Amino acid sequence: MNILHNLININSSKKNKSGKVSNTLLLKEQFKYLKTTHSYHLVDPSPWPIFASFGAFMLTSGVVLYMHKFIGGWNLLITGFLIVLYTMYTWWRDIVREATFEDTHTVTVQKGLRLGMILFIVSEIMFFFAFFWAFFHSSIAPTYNLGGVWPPKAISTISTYTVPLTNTFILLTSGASVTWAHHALLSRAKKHTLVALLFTLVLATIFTCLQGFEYVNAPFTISDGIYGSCFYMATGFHGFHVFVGTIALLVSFIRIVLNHFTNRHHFGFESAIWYWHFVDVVWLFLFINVYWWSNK
Amino acid sequence: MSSISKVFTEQPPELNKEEKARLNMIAAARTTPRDDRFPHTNQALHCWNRYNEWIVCAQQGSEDDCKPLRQYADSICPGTWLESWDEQREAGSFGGVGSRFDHKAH
Repeated sequence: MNILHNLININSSKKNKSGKVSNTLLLKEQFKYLKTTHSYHLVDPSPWPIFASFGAFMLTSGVVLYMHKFIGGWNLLITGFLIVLYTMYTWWRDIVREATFEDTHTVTVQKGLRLGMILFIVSEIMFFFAFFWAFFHSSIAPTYNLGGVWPPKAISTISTYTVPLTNTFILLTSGASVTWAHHALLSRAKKHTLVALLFTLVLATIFTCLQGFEYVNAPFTISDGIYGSCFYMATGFHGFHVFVGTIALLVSFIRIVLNHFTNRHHFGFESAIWYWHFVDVVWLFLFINVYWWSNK
Repeated sequence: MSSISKVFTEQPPELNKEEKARLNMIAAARTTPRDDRFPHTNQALHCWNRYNEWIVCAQQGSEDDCKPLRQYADSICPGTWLESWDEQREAGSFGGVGSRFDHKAH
């Protein structure tokens, strides 16, 4: 049913997508020009959600099959992983297009995105809560298997005041520099924004490299009892979150270079900053409990 | 307490010889004494501590002098744990007192 037949009126000399010269649109083309009286964003049909679900299914089942030594398990895993990665790129690219070039991110939409990001970060806090629970369960009342002490008798711990303390300073400074970048953006100072954000990215990379160095040179592994498990699960997932946060800030950097943001509307950058502060706070908890308190 | 005893006007029945002997045996029963360093319900660390105490005593004196300490360990520890620790000590893989992780060894 061509229900918008009498509402849509375009230049009659223009050819529409079907190649016909017409002043009306086919139904399948009308969704691009629908007007609404509310300020929410009704998203255009997109293949990415189902692509992502296929990719996630292949990834997860590939992981299971690989772990059970099925032939083709690894290949399924890699295929699923690449599909998920590609879908992340295309889906978020479409959101950037909708926000930056199609003006669909009204204030109302932004409020929804803000709530969504806050809830996501809260869910991440719960994720780390579980690992900290495991850590405190084992460390507050250490069993006889560990020698009744924490850190366990046989564990030689990593020195707190060398690399871990440095990493704490690095992340705290990066939190300050990303705030500097944000204020520069609010003041419409593009060069300052880029300098500050680049400084943040450099600090983030140094953090990741230092953690990698620590991992390679640590005197214990993940299989060294409950201490090793707690240490590497907590710091490992934190490192992954640092990596994700770094990518988010890098994308913001590129978008600032390409002038996607205004000084009033830059939610992509703000959400990356929120995520970065969350990562910093988790590190502070890690440093105090897993590095400093658990040291010999 | 004396006020409560007035509630029960009947005396408990007299016990015969066998029952008295059994009652005395129960009253004389002893177990590992309390250790206020381990006040919680989970007494695993208490057991570990008693076992290591016995080992320290046995290393310093003769094993016979340390029978009470071994008895304390026997009472508080699960039998399977004692068996496996005794085997580990014979094999040299015990992780408690006298092992390479013991601070005294440093």
